[in-house]
Amino acid sequence: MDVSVVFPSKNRERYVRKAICTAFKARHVREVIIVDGGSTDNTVEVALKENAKVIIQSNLVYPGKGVAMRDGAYLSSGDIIVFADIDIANLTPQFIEKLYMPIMMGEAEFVKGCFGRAAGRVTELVAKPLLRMFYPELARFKQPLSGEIAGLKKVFYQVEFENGWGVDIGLLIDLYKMGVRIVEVDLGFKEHEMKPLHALTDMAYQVAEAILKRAVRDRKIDEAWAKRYISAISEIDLGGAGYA
Amino acid sequence: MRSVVIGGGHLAYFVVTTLREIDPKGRIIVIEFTFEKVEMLKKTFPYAEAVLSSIDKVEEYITENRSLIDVLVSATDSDALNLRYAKHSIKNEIPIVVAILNNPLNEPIFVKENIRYVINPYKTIISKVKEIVDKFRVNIIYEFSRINAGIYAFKIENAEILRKVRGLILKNDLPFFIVSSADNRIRAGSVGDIQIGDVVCISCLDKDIRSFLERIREGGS
Repeated sequence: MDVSVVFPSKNRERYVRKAICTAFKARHVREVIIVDGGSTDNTVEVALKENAKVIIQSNLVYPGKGVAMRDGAYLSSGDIIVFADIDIANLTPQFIEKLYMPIMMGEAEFVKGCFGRAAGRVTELVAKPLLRMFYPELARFKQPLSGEIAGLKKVFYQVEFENGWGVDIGLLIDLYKMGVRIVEVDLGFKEHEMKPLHALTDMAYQVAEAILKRAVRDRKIDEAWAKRYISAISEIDLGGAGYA
Repeated sequence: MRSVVIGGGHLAYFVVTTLREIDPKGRIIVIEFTFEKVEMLKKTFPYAEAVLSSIDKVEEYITENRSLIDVLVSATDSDALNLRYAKHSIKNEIPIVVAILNNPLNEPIFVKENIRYVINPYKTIISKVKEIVDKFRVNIIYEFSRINAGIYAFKIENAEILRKVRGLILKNDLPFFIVSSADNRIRAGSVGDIQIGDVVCISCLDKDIRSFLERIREGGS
């Protein structure tokens, strides 16, 4: 089975070369795809020079992580698709291989990566409580929002990608509901840039929205209640002026 | 004419209605990926065939029907898919392959993949804003995709530009018309009628206009 590695990216010129070269060194990797969110630096030029396939995400609404992931999946030709953050300072070929090996071995169809550190604030304060409420069977995942994932291409083609930050949790819930075999693998330590506090408010909102939308769809919650809850979450400022 | 349109969103709506207008008796097949949209397409375009397909089966469909397809337009809401399907169609020698962009920044990527007909629906925003705000200073009014030519507008701001534009027209015997600064009306005429303050709209090959613009920028003659 061939593997395609997809890196969503925006203004990551200083990471892109290393990420592409590292991904190509992993066994079975036949292509690396950079989905660019409209970089103003030389991310795209460097990626093309390193023989990556490049596409600029279909809409420029920021954050468009989900759109970028969808476009990456659609452009890939491998049987397995790996998604990873481009700014992982300690990225190695083994890191990528760990993600897809359970699929190669027939043990899983979708793999979620987790790391040897405490999960982030949005995970602990938003995602996990909501999962415990509506999808308790998924509460076992240490890092349900992890962006390091791998899956069979055919599996990704059966689900709808959320546009923004809700994409990772949306995929996890939808693939679980479809009966896809999911495992979580420990990828060790991940050294990367932390998101600034102000970026977490939007992220928290979109993650909550993705979970509640599915809870309504799966008849676990009344739609009007979900709307009220989403509206309340939008008022919370996890990274407002008081924290700066 | 047998046309295949991939995608059932608003881009596809304009494509399908235009294809119908061009050839009312032609066969139009619209390929979509969701059941709900296919049902809606059947109602919106009763004259077209709406086909439900999975994303990975479209290439198979193109290959199987390659000898029957005259025009293929890839108009999904993903540029990644549009690129994939357009490339596959060109490989299968479909006579006319058109890709419609969602993000204009992808145009060079499509062009690099030898996709000749790439529609950037946002292009008109640039020329319209220039026309309205910048009063035609230098503007692309229209580009003919098939012949790499266009209609270009020049604001005659000074005697030097007037001299150069007159030279361009006379040297290449180009058709043109004048938008008069005096009354904002369009008129035909000879190069001698062009005045400072007018806008001159010239129709010519893209390569000629580009070298002319470079000469103007460099201050050459």
